[in-house]
Amino acid sequence: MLRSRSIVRAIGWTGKSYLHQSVRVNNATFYKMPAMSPTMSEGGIVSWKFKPGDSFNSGDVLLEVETDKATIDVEAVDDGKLWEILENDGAKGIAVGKPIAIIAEPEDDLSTLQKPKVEESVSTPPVSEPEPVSVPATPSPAPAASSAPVASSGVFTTANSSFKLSPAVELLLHEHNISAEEAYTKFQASGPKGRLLKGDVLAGLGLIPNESIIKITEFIKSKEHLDLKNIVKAEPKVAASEAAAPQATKEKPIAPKPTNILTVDLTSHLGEDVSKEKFKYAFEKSIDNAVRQTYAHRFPQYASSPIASTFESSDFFDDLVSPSVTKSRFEVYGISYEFFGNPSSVVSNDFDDLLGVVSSTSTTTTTTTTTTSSSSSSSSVNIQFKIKFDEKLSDSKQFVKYFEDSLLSQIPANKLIIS
Amino acid sequence: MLRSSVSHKLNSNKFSQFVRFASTKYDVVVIGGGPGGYVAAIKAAQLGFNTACVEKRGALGGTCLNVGCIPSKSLLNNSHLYHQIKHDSAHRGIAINGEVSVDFPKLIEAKDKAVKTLTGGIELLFKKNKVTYIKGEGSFVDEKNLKVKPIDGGEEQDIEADHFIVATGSEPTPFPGIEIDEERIVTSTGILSLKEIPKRLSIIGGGIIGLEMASVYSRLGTEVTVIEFSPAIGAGMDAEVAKQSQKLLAKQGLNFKLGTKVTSGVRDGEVVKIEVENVKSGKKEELEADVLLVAIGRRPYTEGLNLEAAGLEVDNRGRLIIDDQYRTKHEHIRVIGDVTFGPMLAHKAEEEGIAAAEYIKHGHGHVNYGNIPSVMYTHPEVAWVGLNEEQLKEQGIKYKVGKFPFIANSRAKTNLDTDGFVKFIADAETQRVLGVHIIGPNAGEMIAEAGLALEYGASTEDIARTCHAHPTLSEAFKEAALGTFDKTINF
Repeated sequence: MLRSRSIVRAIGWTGKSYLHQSVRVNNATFYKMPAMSPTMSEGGIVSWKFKPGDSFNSGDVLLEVETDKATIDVEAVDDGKLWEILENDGAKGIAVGKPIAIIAEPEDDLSTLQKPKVEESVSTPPVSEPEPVSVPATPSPAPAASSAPVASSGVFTTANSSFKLSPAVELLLHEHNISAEEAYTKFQASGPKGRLLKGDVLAGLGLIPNESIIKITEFIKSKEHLDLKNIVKAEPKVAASEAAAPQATKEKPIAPKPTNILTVDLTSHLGEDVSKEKFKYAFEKSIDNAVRQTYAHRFPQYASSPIASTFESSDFFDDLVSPSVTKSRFEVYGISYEFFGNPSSVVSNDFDDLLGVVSSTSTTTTTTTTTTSSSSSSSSVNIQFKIKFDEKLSDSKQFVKYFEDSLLSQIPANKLIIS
Repeated sequence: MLRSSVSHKLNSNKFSQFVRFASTKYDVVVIGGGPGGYVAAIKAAQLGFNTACVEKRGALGGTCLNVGCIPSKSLLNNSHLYHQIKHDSAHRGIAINGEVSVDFPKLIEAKDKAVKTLTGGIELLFKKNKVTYIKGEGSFVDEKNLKVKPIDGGEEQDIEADHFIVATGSEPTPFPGIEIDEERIVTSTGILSLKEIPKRLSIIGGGIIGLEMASVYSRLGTEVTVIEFSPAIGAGMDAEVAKQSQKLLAKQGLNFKLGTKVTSGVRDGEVVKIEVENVKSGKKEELEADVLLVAIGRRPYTEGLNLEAAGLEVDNRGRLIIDDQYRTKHEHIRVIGDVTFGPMLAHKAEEEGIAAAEYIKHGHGHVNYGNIPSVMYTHPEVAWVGLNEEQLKEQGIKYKVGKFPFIANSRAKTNLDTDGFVKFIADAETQRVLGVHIIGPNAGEMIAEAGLALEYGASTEDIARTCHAHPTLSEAFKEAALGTFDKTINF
């Protein structure tokens, strides 16, 4: 009895399977609030269709349960007897897994039977009881033991018997002498809308662990939705300007799932004859270099790191197809500059040398050597940018660290704050 | 009495559609008539909403139909036919007596005709479904009102709506520092309407658009160079498939410069001078081309929409910010397609269009983002759907690969079209189909079967035990599925 309770939690649902298993234990058992959908966390009882003392048969509608989405009939999978109703008609907000009734075997004499002990907290793990043997159709013991983390997975639901069984499933059932009708009640389904998949039967037969199904199904489900977490809003001034889209896209693209952010604030002296534009260009160049070096350091085989493309507009192809095959560890974005003093408007190639950058754009500047608007050499610049890194990848922090070192080796900074 | 009140309502609806008031009110107004927008508008009308669709292009169908998927497929198909007749007929026993040549203006005309009939077809669909088609540029006045400036220069119209669906799409991303003139330096739009076949074509970007256009002109005799920054082509393709694809395209005569970045591209009279630099070695090179195609991707398009007036927000890449029901911060303004998140694909936008209309009507809708196919219409075609090996490795999920080459498929063999393979990726323990990657003849059509398998949670065994007609290319699909858990029969 107690064992089956933990299984009910493990498989996310249900009254049906609960009943199914309950027939194999001798004492009366709790009938718990079933999860009618993977997302259901609580529900209400519209009405009980049986009175205490009534016997019911497999397939009878025991009660009507109300969720935020619908009202659903809950059927009994096995024969049994309703002993006591704990949550009456009209009860609302009952957590999934909370006992709502006590049920017994059809032949049980209620006057001699012992009631199960009510637990206050549904999440309290039941007192463990030796595993009953020879219960062929129940999930393997492993998931029961690890019920807690699995309980919320919502991967399994009751098999939907209105779906035709697939060829692989049919054959597998045939091999194990299980009828289709039996299969729908015996096995939990992980397929879309309760479709019974080959893996579900394999797991139900104990041939593969439930965890395998949970892992793959959860991963598949995670890809079914747009990733709308970690949206980085455009800077207000960009949004306010008329050309919101073009300007915004000029910023560095954002990695798929960054989960942490560092803000880097550094101040650097501007050399003589260095224009704002030139400095910006060179600085972003240095960032790109540092990114490339970082990846090259970790993956020498990709000396021209595939990740580096993330920082070029060519990566916009990501938008055309599925996300990049290579996981980016971190992302630099939101670079802003503030210039102090009087930076030169004259371009000097010396600055490239200073930063160790080889000048290669020919489109931006026509180099003049006149120094008419000559500048004070005391001008400086304050740069702010953000680094986002993916916490899920164990080596992201190392990447970021290496990137910072690499960048600082290229930019002479006299004030640096990383927060 | 009941009847009379209903007919009265209908009349007033009609009235408001045909007589221009100071402000016309609709239940749903869709901004943008592309694949996302027109589908959303039709669906909304079918669900009983008084619906209007605002489009400023002058033709429905958006980028896809006018200057994207559709015209490019016309050029791809006809250039393929030409190439095949010219180079691939003698050994099939077809002798060409006389010259086979291309009538380029006619080739372009055939494309334009296909586009015209299709865009006209959508107008008919609008009429059939009673969607009001407003030709003009929509611009938000506030979150409830839209000002429409007609493209034919008429009077501005004010439109009020209970619900808006923004589907304004995307535009080619410009390459910083390279000026597009759509004549010598072109985007995916200009490349579809060249005046003559260029002798030399350089393409920045080795993604789907770049490679499809490379194929078209290479078949027509152009010397094509594809410059790609990353070390592989095909952006997002399975690595093995991308490699095979590159090999086959190179055999067809395309030149590839991978791991190469463009540092400048300037028009100089009737040629374009391009400077490139090898990312790894830093080696610089100068190229010359008659036409330079910039195909580095697309970006959200919201020009003229006056987002600020409606208080709509964009992210740092210009994408309109939405929730999981496509709602902006104003619940009645929803956004779908390229202008928001997700892959920029016409069929993704269509799905979202349907879902958005259904959300308005029923409060629920469905798009499975884990099952959106991608197709590249080169020859051989490349198509894929679902997960790839890299994603599974990252997650530590054990998987099995099943592959079947078309060289071992009887239909491919008889067609003398045997390049490529079908590759299945299935869960190691359950054989659940996780992803399918195909390079080969008809891959784009074949991928639909994989989509169905994914949607239903099929195992590869289910596919292998499903009868596939003989002799067809689809047998290769079945055999590859078999290969994930058993031995293939014909290879």
